Amino acid sequence: MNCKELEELLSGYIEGTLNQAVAEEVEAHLAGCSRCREKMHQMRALVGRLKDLEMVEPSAGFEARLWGQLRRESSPRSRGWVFSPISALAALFLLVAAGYLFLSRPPQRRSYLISEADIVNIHPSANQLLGTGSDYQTREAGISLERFKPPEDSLSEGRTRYILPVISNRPQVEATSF
Amino acid sequence: MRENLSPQRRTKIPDEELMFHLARGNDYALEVLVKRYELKIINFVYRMVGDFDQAEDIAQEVFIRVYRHRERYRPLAKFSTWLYTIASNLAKSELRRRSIFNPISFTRLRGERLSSIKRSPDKALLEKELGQKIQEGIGKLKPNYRVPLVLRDVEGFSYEEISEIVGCPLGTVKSRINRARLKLREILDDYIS
Repeated sequence: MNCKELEELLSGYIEGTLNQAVAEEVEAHLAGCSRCREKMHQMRALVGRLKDLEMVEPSAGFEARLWGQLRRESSPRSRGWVFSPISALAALFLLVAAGYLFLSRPPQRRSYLISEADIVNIHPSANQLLGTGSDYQTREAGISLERFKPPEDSLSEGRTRYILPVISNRPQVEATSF
Repeated sequence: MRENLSPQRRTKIPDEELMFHLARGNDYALEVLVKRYELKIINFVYRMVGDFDQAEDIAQEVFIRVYRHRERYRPLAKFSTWLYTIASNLAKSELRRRSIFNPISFTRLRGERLSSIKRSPDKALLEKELGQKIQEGIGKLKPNYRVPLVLRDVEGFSYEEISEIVGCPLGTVKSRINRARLKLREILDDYIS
Protein backbone atom coordinates (compact mmCIF):
# COMPACT_ATOMS: atom_id res chain seq x y z
CA MET A 1 0.00 0.00 0.00
CA ASN A 2 1.41 3.40 -0.95
CA CYS A 3 0.63 6.81 0.58
CA LYS A 4 -1.94 7.70 -2.10
CA GLU A 5 -3.87 4.48 -1.55
CA LEU A 6 -3.78 5.05 2.17
CA GLU A 7 -5.28 8.52 1.77
CA GLU A 8 -8.38 7.01 0.20
CA LEU A 9 -8.90 4.81 3.25
CA LEU A 10 -8.19 7.31 6.01
CA SER A 11 -11.83 8.19 6.78
CA GLY A 12 -12.81 4.53 6.87
CA TYR A 13 -9.87 3.82 9.17
CA ILE A 14 -10.59 6.55 11.71
CA GLU A 15 -14.29 5.63 11.72
CA GLY A 16 -13.48 1.94 12.15
CA THR A 17 -15.50 0.82 9.11
CA LEU A 18 -12.71 -0.99 7.21
CA ASN A 19 -12.64 -4.76 7.23
CA GLN A 20 -10.00 -6.47 9.33
CA ALA A 21 -7.56 -7.29 6.51
CA VAL A 22 -7.60 -3.75 5.04
CA ALA A 23 -7.32 -2.17 8.50
CA GLU A 24 -4.21 -4.24 9.16
CA GLU A 25 -2.68 -3.11 5.87
CA VAL A 26 -3.34 0.50 6.83
CA GLU A 27 -1.74 0.00 10.25
CA ALA A 28 1.30 -1.61 8.68
CA HIS A 29 1.74 1.41 6.42
CA LEU A 30 1.18 3.88 9.24
CA ALA A 31 3.77 2.13 11.39
CA GLY A 32 6.41 2.76 8.76
CA CYS A 33 5.35 6.23 7.45
CA SER A 34 5.52 9.15 9.86
CA ARG A 35 3.99 11.55 7.34
CA CYS A 36 0.85 9.45 6.84
CA ARG A 37 0.71 8.88 10.59
CA GLU A 38 0.60 12.61 11.20
CA LYS A 39 -2.03 13.01 8.49
CA MET A 40 -4.18 10.37 10.17
CA HIS A 41 -3.84 12.03 13.61
CA GLN A 42 -4.71 15.43 12.14
CA MET A 43 -7.77 14.09 10.38
CA ARG A 44 -8.96 12.41 13.56
CA ALA A 45 -8.49 15.67 15.51
CA LEU A 46 -10.27 17.64 12.81
CA VAL A 47 -13.30 15.33 12.75
CA GLY A 48 -13.52 15.57 16.55
CA ARG A 49 -13.26 19.35 16.42
CA LEU A 50 -15.95 19.74 13.73
CA LYS A 51 -18.47 18.04 16.02
CA ASP A 52 -17.83 20.67 18.69
CA LEU A 53 -18.13 23.81 16.61
CA GLU A 54 -19.83 26.60 18.49
CA MET A 55 -23.48 27.02 17.53
CA VAL A 56 -24.88 30.34 16.41
CA GLU A 57 -28.20 31.42 17.95
CA PRO A 58 -31.12 32.75 15.91
CA SER A 59 -31.56 36.52 16.17
CA ALA A 60 -34.36 37.87 18.38
CA GLY A 61 -36.64 38.68 15.46
CA PHE A 62 -36.14 35.44 13.54
CA GLU A 63 -39.40 33.75 14.49
CA ALA A 64 -41.48 36.92 14.27
CA ARG A 65 -40.22 37.48 10.71
CA LEU A 66 -40.84 33.85 9.83
CA TRP A 67 -44.44 33.85 11.11
CA GLY A 68 -45.07 37.14 9.33
CA GLN A 69 -43.99 35.55 6.06
CA LEU A 70 -45.96 32.40 6.75
CA ARG A 71 -49.10 34.43 7.45
CA ARG A 72 -48.71 36.13 4.08
CA GLU A 73 -48.09 32.73 2.51
CA SER A 74 -51.27 31.28 4.00
CA SER A 75 -53.52 34.22 3.07
CA PRO A 76 -56.13 33.29 0.43
CA ARG A 77 -54.71 35.77 -2.07
CA SER A 78 -51.27 34.20 -2.16
CA ARG A 79 -52.49 30.64 -1.90
CA GLY A 80 -54.63 30.02 -4.96
CA TRP A 81 -53.04 31.29 -8.10
CA VAL A 82 -49.52 30.04 -8.13
CA PHE A 83 -50.01 26.45 -7.16
CA SER A 84 -53.56 25.50 -8.04
CA PRO A 85 -53.64 23.24 -11.10
CA ILE A 86 -57.32 24.12 -11.60
CA SER A 87 -56.48 27.83 -11.86
CA ALA A 88 -53.67 27.07 -14.28
CA LEU A 89 -56.00 24.99 -16.48
CA ALA A 90 -58.69 27.66 -16.41
CA ALA A 91 -56.16 30.32 -17.42
CA LEU A 92 -54.90 28.12 -20.25
CA PHE A 93 -58.46 27.51 -21.48
CA LEU A 94 -59.24 31.23 -21.51
CA LEU A 95 -56.02 31.94 -23.41
CA VAL A 96 -56.78 29.31 -26.07
CA ALA A 97 -60.39 30.48 -26.41
CA ALA A 98 -59.33 34.12 -26.80
CA GLY A 99 -56.76 33.16 -29.45
CA TYR A 100 -59.31 31.10 -31.35
CA LEU A 101 -61.88 33.89 -31.36
CA PHE A 102 -59.30 36.42 -32.50
CA LEU A 103 -57.98 34.28 -35.36
CA SER A 104 -61.37 33.11 -36.58
CA ARG A 105 -63.14 36.47 -36.78
CA PRO A 106 -64.15 37.48 -40.33
CA PRO A 107 -61.96 40.05 -42.11
CA GLN A 108 -63.32 43.56 -41.81
CA ARG A 109 -64.10 45.52 -44.91
CA ARG A 110 -63.79 49.24 -44.76
CA SER A 111 -64.21 51.63 -47.64
CA TYR A 112 -62.57 54.94 -48.03
CA LEU A 113 -63.56 57.44 -50.61
CA ILE A 114 -60.32 59.23 -51.29
CA SER A 115 -58.72 61.28 -53.98
CA GLU A 116 -56.14 59.79 -56.28
CA ALA A 117 -53.47 61.87 -54.62
CA ASP A 118 -54.26 60.09 -51.38
CA ILE A 119 -54.01 56.57 -52.73
CA VAL A 120 -51.30 54.65 -51.09
CA ASN A 121 -48.10 54.49 -53.02
CA ILE A 122 -47.05 51.06 -51.90
CA HIS A 123 -45.03 50.11 -54.97
CA PRO A 124 -43.42 51.92 -57.91
CA SER A 125 -45.78 50.05 -60.20
CA ALA A 126 -48.67 51.82 -58.52
CA ASN A 127 -47.87 54.86 -60.61
CA GLN A 128 -48.20 52.80 -63.78
CA LEU A 129 -51.37 51.16 -62.60
CA LEU A 130 -52.88 54.51 -61.81
CA GLY A 131 -51.83 55.74 -65.23
CA THR A 132 -50.28 58.96 -63.94
CA GLY A 133 -46.79 60.17 -63.16
CA SER A 134 -47.72 61.73 -59.83
CA ASP A 135 -45.74 61.22 -56.71
CA TYR A 136 -48.11 59.53 -54.24
CA GLN A 137 -47.49 59.52 -50.55
CA THR A 138 -48.05 56.55 -48.34
CA ARG A 139 -50.99 57.03 -46.04
CA GLU A 140 -51.83 53.52 -44.96
CA ALA A 141 -48.70 52.02 -43.48
CA GLY A 142 -48.10 48.29 -43.25
CA ILE A 143 -49.97 47.11 -46.34
CA SER A 144 -48.41 44.03 -47.85
CA LEU A 145 -46.68 44.70 -51.19
CA GLU A 146 -47.15 41.16 -52.42
CA ARG A 147 -50.87 41.35 -51.89
CA PHE A 148 -51.29 44.48 -53.98
CA LYS A 149 -53.57 43.28 -56.77
CA PRO A 150 -55.50 46.08 -58.41
CA PRO A 151 -58.52 44.99 -60.40
CA GLU A 152 -58.03 44.59 -64.12
CA ASP A 153 -60.22 47.56 -64.95
CA SER A 154 -58.29 49.88 -62.73
CA LEU A 155 -57.13 52.12 -65.55
CA SER A 156 -60.59 52.62 -66.95
CA GLU A 157 -62.34 55.98 -66.87
CA GLY A 158 -61.92 58.78 -64.43
CA ARG A 159 -63.31 56.97 -61.38
CA THR A 160 -61.33 53.89 -60.58
CA ARG A 161 -61.71 51.59 -57.65
CA TYR A 162 -58.52 50.14 -56.21
CA ILE A 163 -58.78 47.24 -53.84
CA LEU A 164 -55.84 46.86 -51.58
CA PRO A 165 -56.24 43.56 -49.77
CA VAL A 166 -54.04 43.11 -46.73
CA ILE A 167 -52.74 40.14 -44.77
CA SER A 168 -54.58 38.26 -42.02
CA ASN A 169 -57.17 40.21 -40.06
CA ARG A 170 -56.12 43.71 -40.95
CA PRO A 171 -58.92 45.76 -42.52
CA GLN A 172 -59.23 45.38 -46.22
CA VAL A 173 -58.99 48.80 -47.79
CA GLU A 174 -60.94 49.83 -50.80
CA ALA A 175 -59.65 52.97 -52.39
CA THR A 176 -61.54 54.81 -55.06
CA SER A 177 -59.90 57.46 -57.15
CA PHE A 178 -61.96 60.16 -58.82
CA MET B 1 -56.71 19.05 16.57
CA ARG B 2 -54.68 21.49 18.60
CA GLU B 3 -55.37 19.53 21.79
CA ASN B 4 -53.58 16.56 20.26
CA LEU B 5 -50.45 18.67 19.93
CA SER B 6 -50.31 20.07 23.43
CA PRO B 7 -46.88 21.09 24.75
CA GLN B 8 -46.80 17.99 26.94
CA ARG B 9 -47.23 15.76 23.95
CA ARG B 10 -45.47 17.65 21.21
CA THR B 11 -41.94 16.67 22.17
CA LYS B 12 -42.86 13.03 21.69
CA ILE B 13 -44.60 13.32 18.36
CA PRO B 14 -42.50 12.15 15.41
CA ASP B 15 -41.78 14.71 12.70
CA GLU B 16 -43.64 12.69 10.12
CA GLU B 17 -46.81 12.75 12.22
CA LEU B 18 -46.50 16.51 12.62
CA MET B 19 -46.30 16.82 8.84
CA PHE B 20 -49.44 14.71 8.61
CA HIS B 21 -51.24 17.21 10.89
CA LEU B 22 -49.80 20.18 9.00
CA ALA B 23 -51.00 18.83 5.67
CA ARG B 24 -54.50 18.64 7.16
CA GLY B 25 -54.54 22.27 8.14
CA ASN B 26 -53.11 22.27 11.65
CA ASP B 27 -50.53 25.09 11.47
CA TYR B 28 -49.57 24.51 15.08
CA ALA B 29 -47.68 21.42 13.86
CA LEU B 30 -45.39 23.73 11.90
CA GLU B 31 -44.74 25.74 15.04
CA VAL B 32 -43.49 22.57 16.72
CA LEU B 33 -41.32 21.65 13.73
CA VAL B 34 -39.84 25.15 13.58
CA LYS B 35 -38.99 25.03 17.29
CA ARG B 36 -37.44 21.62 16.77
CA TYR B 37 -35.29 22.48 13.76
CA GLU B 38 -34.68 26.24 13.52
CA LEU B 39 -31.38 26.14 15.40
CA LYS B 40 -30.08 23.17 13.42
CA ILE B 41 -31.09 24.60 10.05
CA ILE B 42 -29.68 28.06 10.76
CA ASN B 43 -26.38 26.49 11.85
CA PHE B 44 -26.24 24.11 8.91
CA VAL B 45 -26.87 26.92 6.43
CA TYR B 46 -24.43 29.17 8.28
CA ARG B 47 -21.70 26.51 7.90
CA MET B 48 -22.56 26.35 4.22
CA VAL B 49 -22.71 30.05 3.31
CA GLY B 50 -20.57 31.58 6.10
CA ASP B 51 -22.84 34.60 6.54
CA PHE B 52 -25.22 34.74 9.49
CA ASP B 53 -27.82 37.12 8.01
CA GLN B 54 -28.02 35.13 4.81
CA ALA B 55 -28.21 31.93 6.83
CA GLU B 56 -31.30 33.25 8.63
CA ASP B 57 -32.92 34.36 5.38
CA ILE B 58 -32.33 30.97 3.80
CA ALA B 59 -33.56 29.16 6.93
CA GLN B 60 -36.77 31.18 6.72
CA GLU B 61 -37.18 30.18 3.11
CA VAL B 62 -36.65 26.53 4.10
CA PHE B 63 -39.61 26.64 6.51
CA ILE B 64 -41.75 28.56 4.05
CA ARG B 65 -41.14 25.82 1.50
CA VAL B 66 -42.02 23.17 4.05
CA TYR B 67 -45.33 24.95 4.54
CA ARG B 68 -45.88 25.52 0.85
CA HIS B 69 -45.25 21.87 -0.05
CA ARG B 70 -46.81 20.37 3.07
CA GLU B 71 -49.23 18.32 1.01
CA ARG B 72 -46.51 16.93 -1.23
CA TYR B 73 -44.46 15.46 1.58
CA ARG B 74 -44.61 11.66 1.75
CA PRO B 75 -43.40 9.90 4.87
CA LEU B 76 -41.39 7.47 2.73
CA ALA B 77 -38.45 9.78 3.43
CA LYS B 78 -37.58 10.94 6.92
CA PHE B 79 -38.72 14.50 7.51
CA SER B 80 -35.22 15.59 8.55
CA THR B 81 -33.78 14.22 5.29
CA TRP B 82 -36.39 16.12 3.31
CA LEU B 83 -35.80 19.30 5.33
CA TYR B 84 -32.01 19.18 4.87
CA THR B 85 -32.44 18.48 1.15
CA ILE B 86 -34.39 21.74 0.85
CA ALA B 87 -31.82 23.57 2.99
CA SER B 88 -28.78 22.27 1.11
CA ASN B 89 -30.36 23.03 -2.28
CA LEU B 90 -31.11 26.61 -1.22
CA ALA B 91 -27.61 27.02 0.24
CA LYS B 92 -26.04 25.67 -2.94
CA SER B 93 -28.14 28.04 -5.03
CA GLU B 94 -26.84 30.92 -2.95
CA LEU B 95 -23.25 29.73 -3.45
CA ARG B 96 -23.82 29.44 -7.17
CA ARG B 97 -25.33 32.92 -7.27
CA ARG B 98 -22.31 34.26 -5.43
CA SER B 99 -19.85 32.54 -7.73
CA ILE B 100 -21.57 34.24 -10.66
CA PHE B 101 -21.99 37.71 -9.19
CA ASN B 102 -19.02 37.82 -6.83
CA PRO B 103 -16.43 35.32 -8.05
CA ILE B 104 -13.62 36.76 -5.93
CA SER B 105 -15.17 36.17 -2.52
CA PHE B 106 -13.38 32.90 -1.86
CA THR B 107 -10.26 33.80 -3.83
CA ARG B 108 -9.67 36.55 -1.34
CA LEU B 109 -9.85 34.05 1.53
CA ARG B 110 -7.50 31.70 -0.26
CA GLY B 111 -4.90 34.44 -0.46
CA GLU B 112 -4.95 35.12 3.27
CA ARG B 113 -2.14 33.89 5.43
CA LEU B 114 -3.63 32.48 8.60
CA SER B 115 -2.05 33.64 11.85
CA SER B 116 -0.83 30.87 14.09
CA ILE B 117 -3.39 29.92 16.68
CA LYS B 118 -0.91 27.70 18.47
CA ARG B 119 0.94 30.76 19.72
CA SER B 120 -2.14 32.31 21.35
CA PRO B 121 -1.82 32.30 25.16
CA ASP B 122 -5.53 32.31 25.93
CA LYS B 123 -7.29 28.97 25.52
CA ALA B 124 -10.79 30.36 25.03
CA LEU B 125 -9.51 32.80 22.44
CA LEU B 126 -7.63 29.97 20.80
CA GLU B 127 -10.79 27.90 20.57
CA LYS B 128 -12.77 30.81 19.15
CA GLU B 129 -10.11 31.57 16.56
CA LEU B 130 -9.83 27.93 15.61
CA GLY B 131 -13.59 27.85 15.09
CA GLN B 132 -13.30 30.85 12.78
CA LYS B 133 -10.44 29.27 10.87
CA ILE B 134 -12.42 26.07 10.44
CA GLN B 135 -15.38 28.09 9.14
CA GLU B 136 -13.07 29.84 6.69
CA GLY B 137 -11.59 26.49 5.71
CA ILE B 138 -15.05 25.03 5.06
CA GLY B 139 -15.77 28.07 2.89
CA LYS B 140 -12.83 27.15 0.67
CA LEU B 141 -14.25 23.73 -0.17
CA LYS B 142 -16.30 23.30 -3.32
CA PRO B 143 -20.05 23.02 -2.58
CA ASN B 144 -20.15 19.37 -3.67
CA TYR B 145 -17.59 18.57 -0.98
CA ARG B 146 -18.78 21.09 1.57
CA VAL B 147 -22.34 19.79 1.81
CA PRO B 148 -21.55 16.14 2.66
CA LEU B 149 -18.72 17.15 5.02
CA VAL B 150 -20.96 19.48 7.03
CA LEU B 151 -23.80 16.94 7.05
CA ARG B 152 -21.47 14.22 8.30
CA ASP B 153 -19.03 15.91 10.66
CA VAL B 154 -21.07 18.86 11.94
CA GLU B 155 -24.65 17.57 11.76
CA GLY B 156 -23.87 13.90 12.40
CA PHE B 157 -25.92 12.30 9.60
CA SER B 158 -25.18 8.75 8.49
CA TYR B 159 -23.64 8.17 5.07
CA GLU B 160 -26.93 6.65 3.88
CA GLU B 161 -28.91 9.71 4.95
CA ILE B 162 -26.39 12.03 3.26
CA SER B 163 -26.67 9.96 0.11
CA GLU B 164 -30.44 10.62 0.15
CA ILE B 165 -30.08 14.31 0.93
CA VAL B 166 -27.55 15.09 -1.79
CA GLY B 167 -28.95 12.54 -4.25
CA CYS B 168 -25.60 10.81 -4.89
CA PRO B 169 -24.59 7.16 -4.63
CA LEU B 170 -23.19 6.03 -1.29
CA GLY B 171 -19.68 5.45 -2.71
CA THR B 172 -19.55 8.99 -4.11
CA VAL B 173 -20.62 10.42 -0.77
CA LYS B 174 -17.93 8.49 1.13
CA SER B 175 -15.28 9.50 -1.34
CA ARG B 176 -16.29 13.18 -1.25
CA ILE B 177 -16.30 13.28 2.54
CA ASN B 178 -12.84 11.69 2.67
CA ARG B 179 -11.47 14.19 0.14
CA ALA B 180 -13.15 17.09 1.92
CA ARG B 181 -11.51 16.06 5.18
CA LEU B 182 -8.11 15.71 3.52
CA LYS B 183 -8.47 19.13 1.93
CA LEU B 184 -9.62 20.78 5.14
CA ARG B 185 -6.76 19.14 7.03
CA GLU B 186 -4.36 20.56 4.45
CA ILE B 187 -5.88 24.06 4.79
CA LEU B 188 -5.70 23.95 8.59
CA ASP B 189 -2.36 22.16 8.71
CA ASP B 190 -0.80 24.78 11.00
CA TYR B 191 -3.60 24.70 13.55
CA ILE B 192 -4.41 21.09 14.23
CA SER B 193 -2.16 18.50 15.73
